Amino acid sequence: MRNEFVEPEVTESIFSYLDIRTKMIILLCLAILGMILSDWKALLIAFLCVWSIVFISKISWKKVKVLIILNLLTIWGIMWLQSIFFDEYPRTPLLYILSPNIVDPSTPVIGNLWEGIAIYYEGFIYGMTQSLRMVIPMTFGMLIFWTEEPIGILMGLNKLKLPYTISFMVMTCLRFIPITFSEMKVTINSQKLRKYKPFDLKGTIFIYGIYKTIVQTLVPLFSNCIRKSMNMARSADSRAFRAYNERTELRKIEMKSWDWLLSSIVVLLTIVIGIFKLFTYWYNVGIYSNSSFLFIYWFTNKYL
Amino acid sequence: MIKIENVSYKYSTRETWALQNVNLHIKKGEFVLLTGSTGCGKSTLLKCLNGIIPNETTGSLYGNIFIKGFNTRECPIKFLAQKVGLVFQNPDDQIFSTRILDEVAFGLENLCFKESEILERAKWALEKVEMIDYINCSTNALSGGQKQRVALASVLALKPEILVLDEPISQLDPKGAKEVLEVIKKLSDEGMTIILVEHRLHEVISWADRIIVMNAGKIELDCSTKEVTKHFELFKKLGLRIPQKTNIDLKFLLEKNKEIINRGSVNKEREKVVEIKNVFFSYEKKKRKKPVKWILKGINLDIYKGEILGILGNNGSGKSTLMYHMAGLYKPCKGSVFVDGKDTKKNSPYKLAGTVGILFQNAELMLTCDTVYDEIAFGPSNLKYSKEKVNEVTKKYLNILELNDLKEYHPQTISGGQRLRCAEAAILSMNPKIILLDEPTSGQDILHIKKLMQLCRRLTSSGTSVAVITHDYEVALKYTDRIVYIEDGKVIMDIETKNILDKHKEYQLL
Repeated sequence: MRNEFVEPEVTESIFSYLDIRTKMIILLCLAILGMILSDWKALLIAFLCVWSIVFISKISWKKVKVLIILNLLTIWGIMWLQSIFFDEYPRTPLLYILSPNIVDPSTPVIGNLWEGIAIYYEGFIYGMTQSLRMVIPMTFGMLIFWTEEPIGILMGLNKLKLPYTISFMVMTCLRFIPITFSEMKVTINSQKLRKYKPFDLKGTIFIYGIYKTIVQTLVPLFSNCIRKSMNMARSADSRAFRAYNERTELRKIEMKSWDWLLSSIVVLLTIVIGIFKLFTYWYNVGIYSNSSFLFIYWFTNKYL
Repeated sequence: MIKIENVSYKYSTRETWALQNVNLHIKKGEFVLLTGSTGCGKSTLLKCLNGIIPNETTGSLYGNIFIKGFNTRECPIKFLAQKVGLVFQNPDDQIFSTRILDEVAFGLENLCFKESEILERAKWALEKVEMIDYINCSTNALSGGQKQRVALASVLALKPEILVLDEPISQLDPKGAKEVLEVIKKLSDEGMTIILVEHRLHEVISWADRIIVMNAGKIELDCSTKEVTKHFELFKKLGLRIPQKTNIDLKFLLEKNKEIINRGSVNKEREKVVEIKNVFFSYEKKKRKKPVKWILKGINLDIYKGEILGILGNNGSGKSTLMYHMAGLYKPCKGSVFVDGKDTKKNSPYKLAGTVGILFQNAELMLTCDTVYDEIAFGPSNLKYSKEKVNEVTKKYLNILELNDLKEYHPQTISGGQRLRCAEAAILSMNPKIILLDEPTSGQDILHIKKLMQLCRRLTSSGTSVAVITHDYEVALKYTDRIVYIEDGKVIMDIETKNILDKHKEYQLL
């Protein structure tokens, strides 16, 4: 059975007309912006921009649903975790799970809970920031994976000066993702039919069950991958793989004017934001300041 | 064309010699059939021909191999790739690209051919294998036979004069195997030198000029195929199939027995262990205004206590899907499946464990424990057998499947045949009432197949039922009580094998 989630979907949309290199540059810039932006509002804008691209790309509704679920689970999960475990000040408790002063500070081990356990507003915000940093490049990366043929990704990586052998390995990995999923299913099904219950209550509580299940699933998968890779290596060698440093490329990719324009805008924006953040950081820690950069410091502190 | 002189080879990780003083001359245009039991050195010999040995492997090579006068020790693989094309067993291990044109062009791109020449050769190669209409299609959408033809085209595009094929049809269904063999025959008729490694000798013997039999790294027999009838005893002694075309082939079987459902069955009084009633199944969810693509279309099938049922059919016909229903892994969309009286819709595979045991086609994916002993003991331990009982059952199957010497080894480090036996033992140690075998004969030599089927026969005498999916209709005829043929999701033939064999002369398998 073909799994549509692991095969690319080439649609008639503006996004599909973009060169793969443009998409990769945007992905790289989004990853950098995810790291350097610290204001949740700026990250939210980036997140919404990525989602507008998702809708422009016209991928199937099933894939959009998967993205929504992944994003929601990630954002929601991290927000809640951070809201409970947030330990910086100031922090505003929204709801107490354990009231303060119930535990004596001098009590061993749990003495630190004298302030109580609460859900903190700042924790929510922090959690949202961290989760957005993760989902922005993840969503865009999955979009590229779902809209580009592996050969296109290979060519893009080559053109970006990644060594051919590495790009080839990346492309081969992508091609084998559906096969790996179906093999994992075989392992799990065979365990069920041998009366093994992964993640039973006792095992989950004591963690060892989770570890055991993961190891038992991964060992045959990895072993099979190693055997497959040996066969594939022989097949590739038999067809003169790495015969020369260069090789002919039958398929061509070419960056059009809008690719150059879009890439330039995104790269410039990333560099500008990066410089703003750097100058503001220098200003905040006292390394360097300049009165003509006051606007930069204000803008960065307020919006970035 | 090919001259192999006093060649011996030992892998760095093994103690025994994989090849021992092999001498062989192959002329231009010859079609040579190379056979032997698993581990005899066939694949090692093939790797010597295109330079993988010694250029890409660690090991000790003695002697020389000359391809058109060029010593393979002195030639890089990129040079030999244009002289000797090598096609492997599993098409999925040979295809890297998602588009057929890219796959066929792969070798040519590596050798820096010009784009115009690449396109020309790729089209030529695809025409040779009759896949030109699929030139821009995805490789994921192809059947096994089509994939193997694409792999063949990818090698042919380099225009080698020698084509070496390592069990190219072992993973394919009869239809796919026929497609690939027809292409090979055509290439042979056009004058290409062909070396074909194969276990299913009866399917190819009539085309080959010469047959070579290997055993333990040596050549035991090298004769013309016209003289092979004088050496049948050697084939029997080495546990190989008799290289003679049988008078029963699948096409013939189907023509004579299609539409026969349960003719002459005496099973009505016997206990049913599996009942499949009017089962429909689809992987897609039902949608309004969109017809559902059914994989199983109204299957009615019973399996009786103590019988061996053979399930035949081409790839995509629904055989494995049907088998997974019997194991409770799939639930029918319509109809019902009862396994030992339990409705699979209400019982998960976990609940059926111990009643049903399934050997998947990729048996190595079932091996999850640290030692062979633990692997076999895994099921009985999970079934809460006592320690003594677990030990007893594990030792029993270690003996039966000849795994005693390997009990402390990690299952993933033993050979392919040993891994399969370990998986078999792991299933059998649970003493299931119903054993499901998904293509256990694929890529196996006849000796192993015989041992497995004889073991199944012994188990059925104590009431265990066995269902086996196989492409090997000879094995099905020899070892099953009943054969079912599935086509396009329907059972089109269900007949007891003795009724077939009574009518037609049985050919003696080893």
